[in-house]
Amino acid sequence: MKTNGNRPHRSTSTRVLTVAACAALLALLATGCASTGTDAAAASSAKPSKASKCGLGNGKTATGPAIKLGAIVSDTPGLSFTDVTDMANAYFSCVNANGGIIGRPVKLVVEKDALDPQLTASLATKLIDTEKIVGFTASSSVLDCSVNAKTYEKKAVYGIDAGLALDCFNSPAIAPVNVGASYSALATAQYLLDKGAKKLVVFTSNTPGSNAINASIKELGKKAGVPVTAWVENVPVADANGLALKAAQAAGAGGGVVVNLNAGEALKVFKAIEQQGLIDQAIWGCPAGCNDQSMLQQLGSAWDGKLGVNAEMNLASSPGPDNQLYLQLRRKYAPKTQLGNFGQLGFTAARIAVQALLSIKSGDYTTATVGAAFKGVKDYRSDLYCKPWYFGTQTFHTANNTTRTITPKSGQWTQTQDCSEMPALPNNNFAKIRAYEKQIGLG
Amino acid sequence: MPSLLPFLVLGLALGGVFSLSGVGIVVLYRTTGVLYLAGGAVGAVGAFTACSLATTAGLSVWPAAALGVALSAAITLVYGLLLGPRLAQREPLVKAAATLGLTLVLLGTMSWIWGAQTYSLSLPTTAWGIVLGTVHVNGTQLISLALGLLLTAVTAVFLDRTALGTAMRALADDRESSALLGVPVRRVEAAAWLGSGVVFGVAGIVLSNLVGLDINGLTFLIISGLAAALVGRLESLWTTLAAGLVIGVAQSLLTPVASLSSYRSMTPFLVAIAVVLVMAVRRPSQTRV
Repeated sequence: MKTNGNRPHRSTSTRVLTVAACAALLALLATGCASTGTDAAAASSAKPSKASKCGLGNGKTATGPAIKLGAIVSDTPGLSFTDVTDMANAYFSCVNANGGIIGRPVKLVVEKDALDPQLTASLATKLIDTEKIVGFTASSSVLDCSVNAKTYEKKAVYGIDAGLALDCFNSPAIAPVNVGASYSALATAQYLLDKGAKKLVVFTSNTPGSNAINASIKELGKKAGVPVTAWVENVPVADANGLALKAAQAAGAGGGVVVNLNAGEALKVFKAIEQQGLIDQAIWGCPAGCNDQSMLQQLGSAWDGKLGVNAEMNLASSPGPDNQLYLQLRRKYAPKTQLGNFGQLGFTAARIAVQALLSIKSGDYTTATVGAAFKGVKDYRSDLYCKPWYFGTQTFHTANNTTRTITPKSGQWTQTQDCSEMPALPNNNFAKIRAYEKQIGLG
Repeated sequence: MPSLLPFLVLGLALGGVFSLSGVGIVVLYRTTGVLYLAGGAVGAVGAFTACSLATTAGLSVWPAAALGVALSAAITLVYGLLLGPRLAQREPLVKAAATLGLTLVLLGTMSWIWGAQTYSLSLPTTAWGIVLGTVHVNGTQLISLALGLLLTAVTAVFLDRTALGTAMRALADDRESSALLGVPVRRVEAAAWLGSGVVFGVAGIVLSNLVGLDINGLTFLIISGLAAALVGRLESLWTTLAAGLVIGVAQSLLTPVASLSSYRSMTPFLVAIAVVLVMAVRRPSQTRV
């Protein structure tokens, strides 16, 4: 009987110990293989400027009914852009602690979608009709633009977003703060040509629009007089070694390869290239998706100076005031976000939106007034950009059309090519965009 | 036409790991009657755990890899001990579907823990290698091929020559009669679950070096091992080994062929379907319901 009496006690202790051990193991595992990057990783040799201020910068907490903005962000296993909305929210938090929009706080209502068009459509309806948002800011969804752009145009709800699909760049209602996958791949190919590539090879993940991206680079090759080999690649990549070898063989001596995959898939290929000693057999490039801190940490020194990555925004180590504010806010409000690109995009989208909201003097914040204010943003200047950003009145928007190229060096991203214009080709709008910029005095 | 020799080498290495997974599936099926579909996910958990331990806990790669394999083995063993007896009398389809449930649980858990970032795990063997003509072969590729061959040979001898192996074969032939004759069913099954878990763990670690550390990629590479096991009719270890190698090589050789490259991931299915059809034609009376 005594034994029986002791059993529950021993059993409970064992259970507690087991749970504690499991919790400790989970906590250890949850830290992952790589950290999200610290500000130390963004250390710059240049002396940092004083950070910009948030909104009015008066230190007064905003009160009263919030001005609601909306965002749809993709968040699925292996494909998450919540860093964009998290940093947008960080900026809004700072604005709300510094006078808000003439005293009123801003609230970003974030809805997460997956890869389900019906869900994405319903979230847009919810945000517009139920939440009564007055505009979109920092949306970053795989499907949002393709599914909802017509709705936004019809309902005249405007957005300053981080666009993913090409549809985000061809809507009168959406002005992305970023470059997007398609144009970023094109900029990467241009970088390889600038580096002297005698042939271009591009492989793009097999998703909607991938053939258009490849076609764009073929057009670039035609213009530059270099041959282009392009194909779409199924993801997840099941044989990275074979793919790396195929790309190197296709490039031949002096060729350049655009590895147009997301960071996770691209990392597999870069590791395979390294393992097979192929790094020096071609010039390697990757679009903005590779501008990822965890990827940088995994690449290792073998890739120092050997990989050009298109950067939609300035380096996280840059000393400019806007970047310093980004770093401060990330530290304070969103330390779990990756250092760099996506966070900078969310921060910038929110910052432009606040500038637009502050320009509304009537105190009346509706889709009409906010839409007009968004469209009125004409000369947004930031050290994160190469040139001023504007919303514009065209039916297509790529204000961020001059970008840098970065490369890994001693565990940090460093700039390898300064601001360069994206090439204007017959199958893109850059010639028209630049003519428009001249027309509005930004060219 | 690009040289195919390097792709042949890559294919053999990949095929070696497919064979490894295939042999694990066959042994487990023969012993327990369970078609274990969670092998890829279990291997992925081991590889990601090894990565975390090597990076966060400061362990060197080999002990971290060993602990990763141990976790893979433990998950498989616990699953086998908890659900094996409860599902023993159910239809094979139910048993297989239950392992699909485990796959989904592991996929969700991995996405929760490791889903947000990119990872890589490099075994020291990947850094060294030999050059055969124009082909650079690294140590992990050699190990992959050797492991496939070695495991098949060792398992075949083990099943044939040892008491535990004989008990496993007896269970595969007739579970009830074996139990009546005194074969310790639970213990033998536990050994099979544990052994297979180790195999899947090792396959996960090696594959993470060959194809990259990726949750979905590693989880669904079980399909290639499964195809190899099906070609071996879930019985023959040597046929499974050969099938794994053929799948790996065929898949790799298709990579540089522009017109077929996009379809190379279908190789395991095509090989499995082709073999099943051939078997059906050759033995119609046994395959018709």
